[in-house]
Amino acid sequence: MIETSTPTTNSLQNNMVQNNPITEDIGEDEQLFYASIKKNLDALARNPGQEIIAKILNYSKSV
Amino acid sequence: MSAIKLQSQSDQDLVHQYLLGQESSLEELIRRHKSKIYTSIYLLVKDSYLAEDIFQDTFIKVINTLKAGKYNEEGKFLPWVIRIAHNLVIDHFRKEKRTPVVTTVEGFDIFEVIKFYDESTEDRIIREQTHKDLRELIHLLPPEQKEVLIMRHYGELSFKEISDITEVSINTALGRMRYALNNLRKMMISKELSLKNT
Repeated sequence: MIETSTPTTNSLQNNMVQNNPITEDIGEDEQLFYASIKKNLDALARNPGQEIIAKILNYSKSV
Repeated sequence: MSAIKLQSQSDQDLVHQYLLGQESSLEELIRRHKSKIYTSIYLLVKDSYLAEDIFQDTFIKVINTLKAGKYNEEGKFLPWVIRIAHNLVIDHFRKEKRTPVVTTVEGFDIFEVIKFYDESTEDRIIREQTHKDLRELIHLLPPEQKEVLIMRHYGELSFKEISDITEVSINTALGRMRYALNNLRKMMISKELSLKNT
């Protein structure tokens, strides 16, 4: 796979990279694609149940 | 210490305060990072109950290490915890000696229901289906690519940190991220999956 650099004249992409530092160094096409799916990836985020967190905190107090 | 003051503290400060006996600092660290850590585990094991077990075991290790005075990665709390979680996931699959299976158990999150209460039924179905499709496409990625994508996006780890955890070079970690994104794009095209309006 050929790695390409980010053109300094592409302001849209520069803004995107600044807003998404997570995408550094992965290539232009990949950065654009990543930006297009980032919101959807975020939407897959989940949280553990409160009871698990309570168990962890109780454990901490017990040791 | 008030919740607002805790929220303004760095991870490093919270760790120090926790070591001085302030339990609320641990609570803040968990609150701050629970989604990143839990999602990173969940997307690898694909089972919400197992993910909770590993999440709990991860923090038991964190607590034991901190209280034993063995924590020496100041300022890098999240990568350290993600590394512990990652190792526990690997241990789990080594014990199971099998690839993870897709579970039908779906976590129920009341806040998701509240958040989308005004959404039409059709929009909700489309959104849920799209997220399900994306989750399945991520699961179809080769394990090493999926691992990097999850650590990078959900764990917000640098490629250096990922390369340390996965014991590969930074270029290899970068390459795996590129391949992961390219493969996701190809699969989305072949499945005609559009994420623009979800």
